[in-house]
Amino acid sequence: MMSQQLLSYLIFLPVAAAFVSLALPSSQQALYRWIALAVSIVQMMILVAVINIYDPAAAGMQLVERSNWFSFGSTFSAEYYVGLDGLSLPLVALSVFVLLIATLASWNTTDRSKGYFALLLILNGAVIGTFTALDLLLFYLFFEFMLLPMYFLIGIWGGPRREYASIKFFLYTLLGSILILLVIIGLYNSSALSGAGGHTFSITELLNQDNYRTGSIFAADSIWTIFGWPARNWAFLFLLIGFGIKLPMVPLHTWLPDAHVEASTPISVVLAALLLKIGGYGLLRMAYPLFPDAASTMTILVAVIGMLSIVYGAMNALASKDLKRLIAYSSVSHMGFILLGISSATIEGVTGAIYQMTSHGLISAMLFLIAGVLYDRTHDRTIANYSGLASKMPVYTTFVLVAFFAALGLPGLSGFIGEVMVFLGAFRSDLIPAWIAMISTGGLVFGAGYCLWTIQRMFFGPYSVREPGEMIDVTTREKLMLLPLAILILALGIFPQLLITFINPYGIGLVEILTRSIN
Amino acid sequence: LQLQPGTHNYLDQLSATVSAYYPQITLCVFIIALVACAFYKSTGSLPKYLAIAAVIASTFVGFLNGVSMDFDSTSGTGTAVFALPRSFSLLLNLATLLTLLITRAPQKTEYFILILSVLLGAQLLIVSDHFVMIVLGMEILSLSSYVLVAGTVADKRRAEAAWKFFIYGSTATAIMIFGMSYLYGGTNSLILGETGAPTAPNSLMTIGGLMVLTGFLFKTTAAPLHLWAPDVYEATPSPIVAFLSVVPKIAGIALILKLTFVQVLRIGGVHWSMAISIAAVLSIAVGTLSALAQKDVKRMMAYSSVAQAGFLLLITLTSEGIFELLNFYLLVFTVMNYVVFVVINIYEQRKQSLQFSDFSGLGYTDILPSIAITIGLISLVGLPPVAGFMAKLGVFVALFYAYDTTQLPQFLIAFLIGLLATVASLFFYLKIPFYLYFRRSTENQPLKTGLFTNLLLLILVSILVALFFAPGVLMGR
Repeated sequence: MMSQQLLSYLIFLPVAAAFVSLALPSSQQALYRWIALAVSIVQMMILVAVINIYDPAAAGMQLVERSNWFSFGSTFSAEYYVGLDGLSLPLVALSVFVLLIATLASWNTTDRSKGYFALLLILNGAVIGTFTALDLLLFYLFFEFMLLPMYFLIGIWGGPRREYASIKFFLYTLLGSILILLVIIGLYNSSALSGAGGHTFSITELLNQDNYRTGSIFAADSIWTIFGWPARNWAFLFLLIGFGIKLPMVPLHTWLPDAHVEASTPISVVLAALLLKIGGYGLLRMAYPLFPDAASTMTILVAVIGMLSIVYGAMNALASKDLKRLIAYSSVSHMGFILLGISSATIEGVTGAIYQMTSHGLISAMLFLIAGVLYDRTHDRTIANYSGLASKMPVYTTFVLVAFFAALGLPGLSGFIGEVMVFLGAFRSDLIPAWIAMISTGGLVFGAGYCLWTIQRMFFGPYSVREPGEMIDVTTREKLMLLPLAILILALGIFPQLLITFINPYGIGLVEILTRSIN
Repeated sequence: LQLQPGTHNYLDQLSATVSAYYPQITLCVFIIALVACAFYKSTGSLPKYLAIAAVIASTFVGFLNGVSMDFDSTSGTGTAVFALPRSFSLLLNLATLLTLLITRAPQKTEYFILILSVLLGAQLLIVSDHFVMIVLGMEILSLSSYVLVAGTVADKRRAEAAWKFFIYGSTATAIMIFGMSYLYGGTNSLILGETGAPTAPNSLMTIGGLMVLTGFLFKTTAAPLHLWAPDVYEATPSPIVAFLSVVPKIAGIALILKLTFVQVLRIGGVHWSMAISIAAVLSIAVGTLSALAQKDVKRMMAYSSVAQAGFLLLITLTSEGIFELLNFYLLVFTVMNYVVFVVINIYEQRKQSLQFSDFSGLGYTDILPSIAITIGLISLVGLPPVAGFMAKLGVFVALFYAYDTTQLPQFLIAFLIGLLATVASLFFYLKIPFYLYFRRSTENQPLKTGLFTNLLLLILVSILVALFFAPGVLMGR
């Protein structure tokens, strides 16, 4: 059945297209972008089919594909195991959509376009693979697979300090992924399938505590301690740091502003909209369900980090002089909401966190595209160098208003729903004290501050632009990218049920696991 | 000195099991033919083809050989006891063949004789478990490699490197032989696998065993016996460096593996896992940290070779699936090492000592070599999607399992240091891709690489990628 392999097509179509591009002669400059666009459009069609098949009411994994990948002596074996649930479906949909936008945004990349589009396509496959893999090894491979294309995409097509930024990005992520690998190996060794007698990397099997070897290091009744602290707590902490770097959470966020400022517009879009989400996804897919007991002992830590990220990120955004840096810090702030929502261990909080991930994917993509529009005109991103743009670029200003108002959480736009659900969960939760939620609301105030202040500085007042450049309004291609994003942001703000029906079963399931471990 | 009766028995056994040595005897025949060839001052490519024929013939004879070469630590004594799987010999032959293929013309006949002699020595080490045979194999291997490094032309740098190599090497061999005399005194046997309780005190056995280990560690380029490596690597042409970074290492690992399986020495109280894990962790740490500071590409590869030796040593300590893993790691190591050295060899023809900056911007002019070396280096770091990742992952899984089952702290320490070293190794391995793609070239005209080199690189790189996607194929399970 064709429908049985839809996810594989989604993952491997771009990878195959990347190799086709590489095989074509370099003289066909214009061809590469058409290939990339065609891949994205086909992916969009596959996505529609996937959503049609997907049954939101059913719990558990759907569209599962599972077969043995390799077994290696008696030491280890892994599976090709992919599937979708309420956590991954919104993120896969977001990925397909944002990558289509990113391809459009890359349309004018003519410098070494063969390598550029090939890397972008490989990144495409890796991102979707990460969101669908249910075998830990497969997940880790896709996770690592994103690293090298991103490294080259920032390092070759980036701004003046691209070398520094790309190395910093690479090192932070690799350090985090090594911590994740450590836990994956530990989990694998601790597992024991009752039937086959072997070890397993499968997440769905590892969720069941009967599939662990008694007395092994990560079994639920594990009495292992390392430096006087339970091994399972270490595992959770390692995953928190590993995925926290990706998220990024304060104080491991410093690679993000550098990477964003140096990366070109489409790469920033992919980075902010998709790669950051993998941090949150990893926490929800691995750290919380597999180590719920350790998670509950560290609730306060996660919540405080979330609070710090929200407030500190927003304060940094307020102080930023560069438009892209401001957006980057606003991402740090918005990602804090995800941590806060997850740590509340309530259905509202968890569902809100996933909602926030999807919504921020759309908003941040739009924000970076907006910054890119200005940069294309003048090659300058300093906020202070612009004033009164509204008079010259009315359509552009409309898009800017939608994006910034969504970012500050105006009701009726998607940002509001995610944030309000996170706060509902945080205030209602018995696990985190009220003061954490109260201080976090301060982030909203700062958020409104930097958004409104930026709009006021750049778009109102007398018209002036420091750097030379023709300040034409948005072109058709730019409209084509911005309009769908704006419509989706608006739609998700008015009809949150569109998304929540998909997410909710997952949220209920996770909270069940978490409460069971506390009692 | 009177030989023990057991030795005579052994000689009888030797004549009975002589067929195990057919591949080595084949090599000897070809070496003699090459020596004869050298007298006639043969120019042209005859010696090269003769050497290639020797490797192929030896491989072929190895396949025809009726004697089981599968590893078996329980049955009988004699040569076949510790004969390691055929794959080890195959790897040695593969490395030799690759070196012969990338050797730059013109070379004198002596060069090919020396290459084959090193191979002969290494093969003897793999099939032998008798101390005399081990010393013999070790000396054939060592002496030939000293001369190989020195070269036949008067090159001061190579002479200096060879001199250092010789001093270190002969000292290590001397210590090893001294240690063997202790073991002989303690067990009345010259056979590494002979069982039976030692008559000597444990301390003597410990000292003897550690001294033997010293000689073996030297062959694997493990720290702290690695000091010769950077100078030798820097001064010697790449085909020889690639050869010396793989062949003696495989032989050394094979010997250490035999040592870890010797029951007598275990009873003798030597904490093998402790001694070897110290050497392994030290190799990984010293190799990685020193490589960070290098500017010369081949010196960096020398320290990389030290670090890789550490990972190989760690495998010898584990138990689950040790042979599959060792075979896999050694194959991947051989291939990725050769990918890097084949490319270095291309550029070495332009400039004698290669700095990282010499690679600036080449990624856009010399596309295939650049992609190949990038894939080779990514594999050396241990990142997907290349086989180096699977190899390193295998080591980590095996180490974690060893820690989980034995609860010995050295496994956990080795595991953690290995992981950290993997992150740190990114810094130096990625320096070459960094210069290739992120820096603009100064004045490089595109290099014309031959069809043959391109094809070779393509095959090697395909192996690396294929082994990532299907690592099980090789293991037959």
